[in-house]
Amino acid sequence: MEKVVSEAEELPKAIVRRVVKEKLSECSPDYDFNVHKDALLAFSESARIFIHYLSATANNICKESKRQTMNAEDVFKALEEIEFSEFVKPLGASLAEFKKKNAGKKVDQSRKMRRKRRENRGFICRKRNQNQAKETG
Amino acid sequence: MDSNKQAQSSSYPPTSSITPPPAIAATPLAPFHHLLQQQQQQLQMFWFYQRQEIEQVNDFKNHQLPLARIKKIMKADEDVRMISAEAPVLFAKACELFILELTIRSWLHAEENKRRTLQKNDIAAAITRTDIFDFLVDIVPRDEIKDEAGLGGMVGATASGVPYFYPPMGQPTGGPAGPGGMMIGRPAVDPTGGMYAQPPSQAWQSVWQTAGPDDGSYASGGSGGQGNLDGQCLGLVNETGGGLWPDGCSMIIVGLDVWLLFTGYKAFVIDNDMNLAIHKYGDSFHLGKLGKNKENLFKMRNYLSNSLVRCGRSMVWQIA
Repeated sequence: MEKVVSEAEELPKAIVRRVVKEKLSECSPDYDFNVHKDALLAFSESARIFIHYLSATANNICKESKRQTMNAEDVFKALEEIEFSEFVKPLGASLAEFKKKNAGKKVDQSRKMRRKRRENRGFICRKRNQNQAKETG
Repeated sequence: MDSNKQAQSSSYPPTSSITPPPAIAATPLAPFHHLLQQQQQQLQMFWFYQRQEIEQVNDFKNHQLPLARIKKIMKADEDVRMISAEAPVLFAKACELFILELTIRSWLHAEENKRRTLQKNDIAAAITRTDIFDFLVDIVPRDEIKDEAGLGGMVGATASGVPYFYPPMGQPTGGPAGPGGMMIGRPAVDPTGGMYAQPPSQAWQSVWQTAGPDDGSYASGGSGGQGNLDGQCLGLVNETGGGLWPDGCSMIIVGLDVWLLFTGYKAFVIDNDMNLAIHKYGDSFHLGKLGKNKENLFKMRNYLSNSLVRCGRSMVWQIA
């Protein structure tokens, strides 16, 4: 039951930094706010623990419903449970957008693939003709 | 065509005046002038729409925490097995919102102290002030709490966020510190060096949740967090409490979290669901959070005593 822990995965510093700085410039638009390096680390770590916390809660909920796979509904319920219910609405919107975008993406991708294949075929034919012309010429 | 290439490689965001493609040498401009104008207009339109499109998609392109990384973090918890595809997306956004919340509250603290640089203690203050951030209490230690000497060094943010525990040094039962006669400890280096205790077992968690009716959640409604009597008693987060319970288990309270640390050789625990767990030295379990009343603590004690007694171990608690 003991476990050796090497290094935990961290969230990308650049993204955390961007989120923090954007919000800070919103909070005080008149002057620049700086963020200490240690503070950024604290943000990253806090966010990481938040993931664990939310994840564990959602996982519990999932298991209680006798399911194996954690889904969106579990996450929403978990948010309520850990008293972050104000997140639920914006997350719902975000998820809807994501689903829309993904649906579009899939169609686009298959279209692109077909177009590419068509173009490649055309290119190959032309090349072949050119080569043949050269040889006979 | 050449002129098109030229125009497309011009810098983004587009400047108000688009550099016209270079004049084609040795051809009179006049007849082509209207063509150039047209082209310029088209380019302006092109960039206009490009920009709009990018601004709209901004939320997604300004990425968002990488889903794969989030998934890895989630999977670091062994209890989490399968995750649907939508979950990491939600987590990414939730994380972002969480960071925003934390930022605002930290900023407030910095402003109060008339600073323009956000420091770690601003974040620590934000965490202390906000009830729902209690789970972070040990992740960002406050500056005042720097006397690590007593415990021989503290590992800062632990890898998994689960506090390391060192069996409280043999302090005579000369009274645990703190008013309620409660045991208070704090995260310290694990004696086995680099090992961390098993994350709270699911069995315990769920049992505890069903056992306690209304835990009287510690977050007394928003950040107004006052009158949480227990919270105040145990605000002595950084006093070292002591004492090994006679049979080798210690209940340790860190912040508002209560942990049970097994310092005896072995303990067999059967929970209400008849799950058997065998825990040994160094294992620690999260027993839950203290609610608004000490009842929870008593419930915990009783529950544990029963479980352990069934397995042939007894516990003695000293709670005033």
